[in-house]
Amino acid sequence: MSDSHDARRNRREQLLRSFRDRETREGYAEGFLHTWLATQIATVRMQRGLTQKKVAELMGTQQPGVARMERDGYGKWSFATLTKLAQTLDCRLKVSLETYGTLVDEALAFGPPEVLQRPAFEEDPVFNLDALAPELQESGPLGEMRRKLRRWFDADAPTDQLMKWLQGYDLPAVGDEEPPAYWITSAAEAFTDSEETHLLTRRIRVCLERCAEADPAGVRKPEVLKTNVFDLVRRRPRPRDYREGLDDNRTYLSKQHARLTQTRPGLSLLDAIIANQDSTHFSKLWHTHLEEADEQSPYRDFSIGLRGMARIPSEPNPHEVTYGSSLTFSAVRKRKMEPQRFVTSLSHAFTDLWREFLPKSPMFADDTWRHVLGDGLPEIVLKAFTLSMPQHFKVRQPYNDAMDFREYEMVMQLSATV
Amino acid sequence: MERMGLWDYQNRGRNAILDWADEVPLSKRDRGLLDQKLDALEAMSFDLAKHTHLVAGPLNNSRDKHIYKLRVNGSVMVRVMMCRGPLPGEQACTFLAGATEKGMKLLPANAPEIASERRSKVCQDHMLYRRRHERFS
Repeated sequence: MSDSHDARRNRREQLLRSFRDRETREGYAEGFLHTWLATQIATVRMQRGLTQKKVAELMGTQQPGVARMERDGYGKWSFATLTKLAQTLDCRLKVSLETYGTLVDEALAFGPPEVLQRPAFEEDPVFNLDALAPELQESGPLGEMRRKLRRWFDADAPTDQLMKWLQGYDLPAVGDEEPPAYWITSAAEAFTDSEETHLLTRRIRVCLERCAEADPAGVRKPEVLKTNVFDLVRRRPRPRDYREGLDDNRTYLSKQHARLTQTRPGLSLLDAIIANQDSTHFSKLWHTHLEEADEQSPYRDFSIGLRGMARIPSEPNPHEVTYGSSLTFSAVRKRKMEPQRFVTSLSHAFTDLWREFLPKSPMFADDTWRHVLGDGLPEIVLKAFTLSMPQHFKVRQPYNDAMDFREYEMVMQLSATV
Repeated sequence: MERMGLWDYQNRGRNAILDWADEVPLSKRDRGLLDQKLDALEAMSFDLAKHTHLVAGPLNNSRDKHIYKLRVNGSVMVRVMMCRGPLPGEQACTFLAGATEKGMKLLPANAPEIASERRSKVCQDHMLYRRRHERFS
């Protein structure tokens, strides 16, 4: 997964870079229109089981005329001919002015036949309610939204559409009123299958990443988007899936380091983290690494101890924190990590510890933690712990006791990214 | 669907396709158009690329029957000579030589022959004679 994800990210970056030049993006867009149209006409025709000759007969024209329209670079279609062709293939023609931002996702999604295929009217789920699952048969705008989401999901369409829905655009109207922005989160409840839920979650995560990139073409209503994504996180049974983005980053850093040092990726994780210690992702990567550690992991010992810091146990465990901090500190020192950077990174980890434990344990309300944690902690770790205090108080303010911690964490992540 | 691997012919460590694009020379618009066609070729099945005439061939006027041409109609009629693979079993295309077309004639006229020779070299030593495709824009 990570390889294709990396490749996709590279392609996206290349497109974003080259589209900054006006002539280049105009050339690309023109070419894409020709390619899309030619390949879609051919794909939908074949989907219907029709030959070019048959389509020509139905249109009242000659076969070479249809063949020309299926030729990339033809570029001389008329509006009337295209409309007629669309009707022959039991589709509607849609012509729309779009931003160049949408071209990036469309270009990346282009290729698989499912992206180009369109069902005929008889197979259109909107008009074929009997074939749908009960929750998709519901009439009214919510049912419509559920069917839209299902079709989008089944077609593996670009995340662009999801971005629009999450920001309150393109939602089914309710009479004359504005459609409620939470329509999309209600519609997502129709996804109950575990595998599908997982896939949907991953695609929502792409939206989160785009938030982080602050893509101006994609994010026009960040507050609405934030609320909806947060709501979806709360409703999903596997909120941890959202954290896979961090996992991808970790893989990337590990590979990057392996490439530079010609070592095998995956085996040099701690080295990779240390080599990338300037990264702001550092403490988060650490968490991901810890959560993955197993019996075979060379970092098992650190993992056991640092689980306390990485909020994995349900109860606060100061002894694990102490043990893990000491072990990790000694390992890091052997690898010549700069102490100041270690302090900064560790303080981030401690900040998370505060977030997790403070609502549950009164011992952090005063100086009691010094007595509990102070014993056995190296001075430098203690310094990091102290440094984390102001950060804790900074994030403490919006915390609401009624919220689950994971929700709170997601709000914090979103606040930082949007 | 697995994406096609794209490769460029290289000679003495230089990308021959990019060098050709600089010589033509191609405008930014043409480069954007060319990049799009190559992206499309990478993403779609080779049969569909042939069906939509994005790729034509195999060409008759080459030594062997392995040379195709990628057609891009911008302000310059670009025709990139290419082959499938050529290593056995790989899902890839290798761009071998650049050309333009004017009045149904290729410039240079012997582009298919050049491509054919280069393909033989790639078959002999693919590490030496080809590299990952680089974008034009």
